[in-house]
Amino acid sequence: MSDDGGVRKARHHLVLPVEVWEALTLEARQRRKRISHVVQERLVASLGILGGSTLPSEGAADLMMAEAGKRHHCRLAVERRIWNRLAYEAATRKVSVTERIRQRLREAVLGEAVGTGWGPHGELAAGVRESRAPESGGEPKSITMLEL
Amino acid sequence: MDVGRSGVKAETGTVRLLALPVLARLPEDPEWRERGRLDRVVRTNGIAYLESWCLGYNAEDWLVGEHVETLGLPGQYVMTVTKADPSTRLLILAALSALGANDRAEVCVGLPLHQFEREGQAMRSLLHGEHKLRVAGQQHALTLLGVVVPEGLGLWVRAVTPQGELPDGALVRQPTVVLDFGHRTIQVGVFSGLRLYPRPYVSAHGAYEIWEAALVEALEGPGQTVYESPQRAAMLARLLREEQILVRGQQVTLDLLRPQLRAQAERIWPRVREEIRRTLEQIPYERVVAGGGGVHLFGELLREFFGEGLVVLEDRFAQAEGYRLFLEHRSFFRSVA
Repeated sequence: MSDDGGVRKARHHLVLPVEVWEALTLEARQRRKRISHVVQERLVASLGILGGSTLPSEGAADLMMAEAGKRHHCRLAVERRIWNRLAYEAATRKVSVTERIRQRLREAVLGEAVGTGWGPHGELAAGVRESRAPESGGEPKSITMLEL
Repeated sequence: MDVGRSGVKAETGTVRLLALPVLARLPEDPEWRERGRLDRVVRTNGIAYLESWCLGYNAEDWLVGEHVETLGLPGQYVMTVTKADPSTRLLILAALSALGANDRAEVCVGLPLHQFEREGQAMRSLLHGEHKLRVAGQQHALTLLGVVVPEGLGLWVRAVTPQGELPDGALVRQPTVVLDFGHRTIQVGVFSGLRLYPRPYVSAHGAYEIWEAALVEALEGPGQTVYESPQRAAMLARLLREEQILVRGQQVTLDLLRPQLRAQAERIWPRVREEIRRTLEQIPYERVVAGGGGVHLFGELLREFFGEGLVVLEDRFAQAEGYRLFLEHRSFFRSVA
């Protein structure tokens, strides 16, 4: 990492599950985009940042990404603030940044809920990508009505 | 009050108000405060559009609405799924004050089904009690009464009130699937009276993905996202209101977008359908209601899946109207349920 907290020179090797890689490459092919572009968009949308473009800016992270067991790879540049967000999330969960990116991409592509815990404006509650229903219905419960 | 990510919808029974949920702190510099009127409400087709509304709260002045973009202020356009936060409170207070509520207002606010128990308590704390506002140079102490409820309840209430006046007791008792196709989320809950089947489905793949993909593709070509999110939100708001927009000399119309919207909706439908099917496994529902601003994107697909018995609430204000009806008939709902 560079002194200012960026990751200009760093390379992080990110291995993705095959199904995630295939979904991303398929989307990239269909849209005639680089896979790195698709991944940027997926990460930004997953983070719920919005309000910002997905165009990489100077000082972006430089990631290596590869499908497990195969040689495909791409470089991924993301905005510094996106990287910082991912680094923050990783730190609070005591996982590596690449692991957090992997979780985010799994969530975005496969719909697996990984939870967040940090919103785009600090004090604001964070979003979540998906909350799945149980396998079976169960009994209905009274709706909570919160009186002001 | 339906605080959506594409619009804050408020319905009083006589007035409908719509505001883009974009916020900006108004700078101290007087230059910003003298750039024309900051309180702008435009009435079109029976709806009061809050183009901008200046609200003083907690020693700061805020501007709400799409005029934030026109002025070039750094806008906040919150797109998290959860809503129990100070931004939502500001949006609610802005809408209420624009509706003329100065000292007391009864309001029903919906929050997403995901983690409602926790988030609802947080929202209640944010809204409860008295709020000191500055509106049009006047100080007000606005006390909020009412209730925080799970989203979808408004659609359900609207659907069990077919004529829009009195709820139908027989419909209230029917286990009813409520599909809420919002801008940010798709939510599926099954209501039975004032009861809800546990762990409803919430997806953050909402209509915005479809709309923005189609709009950005029309403006910039496939896969581009050069416009910032508040800009895209403002463009969408104008497009929905005026059915056409002009961006850098390029005209985009709703008619032009329809084929792309349909194609995008069909692309994600298999996944949505599968999640709906899974959510409803082993639940003995009798009725299906679909609403939300994105429901028109999935209307035909939903009809194919659920058949002709499906009730589609295409009115963008259906949820807000349902919340208002719930406040009016709360005792009836409790007695029947």
